[in-house]
Amino acid sequence: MLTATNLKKSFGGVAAVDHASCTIEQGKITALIGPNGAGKTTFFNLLSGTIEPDAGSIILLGEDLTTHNAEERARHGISRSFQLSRPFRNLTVAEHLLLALDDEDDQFWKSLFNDGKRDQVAMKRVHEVMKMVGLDVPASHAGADLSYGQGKLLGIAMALIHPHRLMLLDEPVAGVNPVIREAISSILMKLREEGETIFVIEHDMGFIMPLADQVIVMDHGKILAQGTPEQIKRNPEVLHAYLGQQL
Amino acid sequence: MIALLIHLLVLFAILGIAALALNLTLGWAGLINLGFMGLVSIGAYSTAILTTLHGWPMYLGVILGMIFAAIASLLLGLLIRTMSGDTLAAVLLGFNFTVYSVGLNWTSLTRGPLGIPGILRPELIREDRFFLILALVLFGLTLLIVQRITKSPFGRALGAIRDDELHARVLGKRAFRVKLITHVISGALAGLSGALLAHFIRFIDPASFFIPQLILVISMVFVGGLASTRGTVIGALIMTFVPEIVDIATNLPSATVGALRAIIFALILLMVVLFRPKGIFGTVELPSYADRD
Repeated sequence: MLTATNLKKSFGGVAAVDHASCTIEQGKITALIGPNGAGKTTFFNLLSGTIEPDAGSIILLGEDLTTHNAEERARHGISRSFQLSRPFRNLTVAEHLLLALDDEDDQFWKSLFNDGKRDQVAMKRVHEVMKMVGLDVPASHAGADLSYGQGKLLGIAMALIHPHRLMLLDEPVAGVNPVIREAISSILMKLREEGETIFVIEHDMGFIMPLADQVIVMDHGKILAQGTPEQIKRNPEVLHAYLGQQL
Repeated sequence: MIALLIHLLVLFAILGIAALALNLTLGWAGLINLGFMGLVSIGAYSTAILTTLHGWPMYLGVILGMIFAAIASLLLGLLIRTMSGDTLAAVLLGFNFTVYSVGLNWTSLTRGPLGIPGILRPELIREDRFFLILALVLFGLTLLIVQRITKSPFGRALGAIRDDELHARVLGKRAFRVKLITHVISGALAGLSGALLAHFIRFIDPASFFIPQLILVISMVFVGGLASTRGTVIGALIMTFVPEIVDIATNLPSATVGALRAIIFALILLMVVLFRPKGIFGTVELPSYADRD
């Protein structure tokens, strides 16, 4: 579905992503793992267009998105969540989800003469997604007043409700309690059953290894290995990168 | 007394339009538009020059004033596209100074520091009480337009861009386009307020649209509350009427009244900052520059 080839991004003299190439298969969960500072989030930023690559290409379903900016990539079907929950401080939960769902709201005239029916229909979907991810708060709740874990769920809900072909999730369970961790695990399994294509950065091996169909390992900006979880667990280079940590 | 009340009500309506226009960029778009009075000035000078010096009808002067201010706002919006923080503030304030300097030095067009006196009003609204009706109708229309924009999905996207532009862009929102459209609408409304002010006061000079007036309109927005139409109306009402109380209620000499007005103005601001930091009806907090990516 998505092919990244020779992506490179340097900050100053440091190559955060160094000629990294990988392929994300449709309908599967692909995990991106690696030690801290490996360049995983920079890689996600390159894929979602929040930073421009110095070199390389990004192809989504045959279309070259390399020169597209973040909003164009979002409109081509790449949705993402962030490592740290970052709700809009003055929007309610419902507004967050309506915002993520509505791809015509930045069209002035269309939006101005909207009779409100579009939002009424959209609210049904908002409640469905809130229920699906287990976001058990009133839709009118301020996004900024959510707990950290609820903020993470909101981030996943937004990535999910945004019209997409590929979801990028950046450390969805980092810093959340075990109950939410389990809930997110169930959500991802359900999404995979529904045929979603998910690319997820995760540090928690106990969480991601049973879920992932494919695992990509990054270290020092380079892709060390790509394979099934079993192949990755046996890869000596990967074990070395993790300094003997058991995967 | 009635004449003063009508005068203040007209000023309230005109400055209310300006405050709504400013709140659109300041409150809803999160842009501290220090160049705002430059846009008001363009609206005022356009209609003053066209109607008084060239004999055009007022309605055409006002409409062209709005269009010229909107065009200036568009160009300004394009210019500041990649700017933020101190640079942005300096450029916007610089725009105010530029318009002020042009007004002062392009004497063949603006009559420079002498200003343009005797700005005409059509027969129908020559009396202040009839001008008041026009000003209130246009204020009401502006209120409806701003409310319609900000309550629409476009307004929601605008709020998201103000709070976290990068996040909004990742959701597919064309942030620059949304901000530019808002900036142009705000510019047109600023031009409208300037044009109405010119026809109401019947005299303008470059100093009519400078830093003290900018502070007055910004204060209306902050007192009423950012991103609140109701708040803007209340803010405009308070900042227009309350400082005038000393003039209405006392027989003090004008020099003393002027100083007392300034003290009351400052006290209102102080009370709001201390007890209602988001403004009377404000719910929105602007992100600090440090929060922005």
